[in-house]
Amino acid sequence: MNSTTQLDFHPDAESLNAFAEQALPERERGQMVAHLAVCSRCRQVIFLARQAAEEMETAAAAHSAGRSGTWFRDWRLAWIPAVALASAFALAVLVHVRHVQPGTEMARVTPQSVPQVEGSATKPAAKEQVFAEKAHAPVSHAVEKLPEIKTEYAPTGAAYVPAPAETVPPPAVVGETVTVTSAQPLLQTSNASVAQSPQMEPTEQAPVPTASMPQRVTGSYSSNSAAVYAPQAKMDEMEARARTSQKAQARYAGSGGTSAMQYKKEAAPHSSFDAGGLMPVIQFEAAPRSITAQLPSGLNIVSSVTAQNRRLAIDDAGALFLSRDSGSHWESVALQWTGRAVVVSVLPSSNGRSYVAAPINGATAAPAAQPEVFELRNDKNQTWVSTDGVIWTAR
Amino acid sequence: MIPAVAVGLDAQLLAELWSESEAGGWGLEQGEFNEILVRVGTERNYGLGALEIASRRQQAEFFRGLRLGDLVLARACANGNERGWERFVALYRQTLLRAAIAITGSETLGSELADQLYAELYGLTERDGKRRCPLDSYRGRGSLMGWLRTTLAQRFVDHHRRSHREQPLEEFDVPAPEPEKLTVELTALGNAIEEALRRQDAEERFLLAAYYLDGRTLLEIAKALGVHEATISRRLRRVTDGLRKQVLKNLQDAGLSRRAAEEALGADPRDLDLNLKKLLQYSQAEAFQEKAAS
Repeated sequence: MNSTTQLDFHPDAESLNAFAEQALPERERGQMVAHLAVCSRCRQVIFLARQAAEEMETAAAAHSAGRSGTWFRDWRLAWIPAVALASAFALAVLVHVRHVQPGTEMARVTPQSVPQVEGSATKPAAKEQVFAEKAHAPVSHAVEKLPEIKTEYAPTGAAYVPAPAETVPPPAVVGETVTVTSAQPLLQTSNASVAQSPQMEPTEQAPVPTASMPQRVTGSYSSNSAAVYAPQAKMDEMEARARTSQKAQARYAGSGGTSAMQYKKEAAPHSSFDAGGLMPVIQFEAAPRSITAQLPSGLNIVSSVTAQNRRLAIDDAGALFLSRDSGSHWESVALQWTGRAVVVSVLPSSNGRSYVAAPINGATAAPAAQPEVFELRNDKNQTWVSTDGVIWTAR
Repeated sequence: MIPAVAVGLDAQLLAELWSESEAGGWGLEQGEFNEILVRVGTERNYGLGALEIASRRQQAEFFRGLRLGDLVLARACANGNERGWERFVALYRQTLLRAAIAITGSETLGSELADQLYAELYGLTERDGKRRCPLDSYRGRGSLMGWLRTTLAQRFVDHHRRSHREQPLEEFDVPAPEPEKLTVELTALGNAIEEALRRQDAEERFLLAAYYLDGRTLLEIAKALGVHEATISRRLRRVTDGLRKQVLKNLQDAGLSRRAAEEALGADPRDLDLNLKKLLQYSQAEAFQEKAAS
């Protein structure tokens, strides 16, 4: 105990604080309690110091709580533009997806319509799973090997690709032969090996898949492993569409080129899905289904071609339409030829490479050839050429 | 400088403590640091009784229980170390002001009290031509902030007592009854109560004084003693019950029957010639006389 300002002896601040903070040993604490019992001054000091400590602790707690509370208040206004920005982004993504979605269409296979091939009794569900597991590996490989030629599928009809298990060749072959060529005789092909058959084989044992819509069919592999088998209703719908386009089919049936049936015949022996081989997905870059309806004439498209960001299409009536936005909007091209337009295509470039209608997903873009010349052929086999699709001159 | 070996201290321990407390950063040499620790330890005999001799383990426990960081900072400030003062101001200047305001209950008085103590801490006062800093008295038992709060409270209470000396609390006590009205029973009752209070131990007297004289709440008392509020409540009830029994016993020892003793307990307290404040604090002089003698 040290003497302080008073005449009496009192514990110093050190001892009083140590007592208040429970830091005194038991013996010294007993002495302190004995003193506090008789000394109102030191009791008052103890209680005042304790009260101050509690107030400071409360203030500190309130301050920390206030700081944690003000964090949200400070940023509360920032949530408004953040939410608005997120909403705008989500809307943009949605619009983009809706805009892009019609451009590609996955081939859907109805295994019921395809006869079973010996040794390939894999169930569709199992195939789906295999697809999901194997889709990634062959994609890049197959895309690299794909010929650069994509052909126009002139006849209208349902897009069809044989069931992968029965018809898709293994990757080593797919790269060269998977391209489905149309019966269009004017299609330009590259030096890549696209087999051409002079005519279709209507007497084929297997059901002949027919395209129900005018589509540019491109043999390609897709990284999308979500290939599914279409239900029977889908197949029925495709067949119904095929019947409505028999006229166009008949027109091109004898004009050469490899038919889908021939493709099927070639591809079937190479089926190896059950063996865990590479699983290509034949993907069509098909004209959107809405294109037919979007054409000002309302008729089906019998031929179309895309180049220089322009898309030309001929409908059943022989009218030519031009789209500058990938088919979203069409404008009618004034009649500058005789007869009825039948086929529109692109002339080969000077380097001998072929032009394609459009690459799938841009992955196999055709080499840029300048200038590209559109060619239009009428029902009398006369041709007209144009560089912009609007002004046509006789050739 | 007191060499560590001269007082039987563990030199390795002192070196470790010097390193851990980062005393070198505040300009304290290890020798000076050792001297401070030795002084603190010997003043308190390492927390042991007066006749006990601390072993090295007890010494280590005592030193480990000190707030060495605060102690080093306080000593650096007392020595006038500029970095130490910068640190002190950054840590305690505002908290000192808030504590003073909380103690005085007034911003003006609190600011005045804090500034006065701060000036004193800075060593503006001199004694015998030597700069004097209260931080020299800090020994590291308890936090430096707690020491500052307690010092503020001491200054405030002392100032209040000096300024209110003209109106002592005793004047507000109930005036004693006229001597001629005292009866034998009341005299016996007063003596019995006085004797019963004298028999209470220190902690019981502290509870009675804090609760009945100072008007502190159970919670305040509990926090001061570091126990639960319910514990204080139970102890108070036990103390009062024991006091009543002891008073009854004292009355019976004084020759009153049990019935007469119980009737005496029902007397009006204002009729008693008793000053409980004086009774509870009777031993203050005795206690410090004992302390001074020891």
